[in-house]
Amino acid sequence: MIIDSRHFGHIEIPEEEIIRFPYGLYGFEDIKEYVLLGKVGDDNPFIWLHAVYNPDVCFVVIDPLIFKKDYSPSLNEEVLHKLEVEEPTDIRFLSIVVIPQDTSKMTANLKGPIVINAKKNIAMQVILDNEEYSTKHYILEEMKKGA
Amino acid sequence: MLVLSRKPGQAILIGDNIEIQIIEIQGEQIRIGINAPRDITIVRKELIDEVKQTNREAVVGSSHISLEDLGKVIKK
Repeated sequence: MIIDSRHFGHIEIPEEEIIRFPYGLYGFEDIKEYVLLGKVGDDNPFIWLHAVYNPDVCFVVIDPLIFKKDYSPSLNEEVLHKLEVEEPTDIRFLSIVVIPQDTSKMTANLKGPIVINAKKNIAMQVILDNEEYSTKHYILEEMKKGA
Repeated sequence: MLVLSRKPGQAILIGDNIEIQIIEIQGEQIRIGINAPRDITIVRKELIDEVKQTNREAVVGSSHISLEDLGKVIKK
């Protein structure tokens, strides 16, 4: 199908790549379908998360394991049930990135990750109980810490 | 909004299976115990507001941003 994007114009995507967000994202509860776009080579961890039916809504997301190697928050049964998870290995995390004017100050939200059942392409944003994560981790600083 | 007065140790029920109990009061802090089914999400409201706000900030408004450039920033 064709998706309409303010950033990219018209893009053709296979329908099976659509990820369903039955509850939307916080603040964007009405938008229930997204696609991941624009993976640039294996060494670039950033991806677009683009709304399928809303040309103006897109986010940059990143695999949090890139800068937080031990990131594996525990999920409660409710989340696993809502995402229809059968195998824990089907779970992927993505963090939404905030990109300020000075891109070196970009932050990722580890407190409210997007959790995806990669096998079924169902996802939701989960707010973690975990005190050690916040909504704004400076990605570059985290990478330095982890290096 | 329904407003009720409760004392420590007292509780209210919402529907059949959500129980909210006042555990103790210390100055401005009130400790609350909640019994609810596992499929009910319980989150501090200010945390939801913070995540909503962060999501809104994250919507990419300018078309100047490219994934290639972001990739270069973290490789420096």
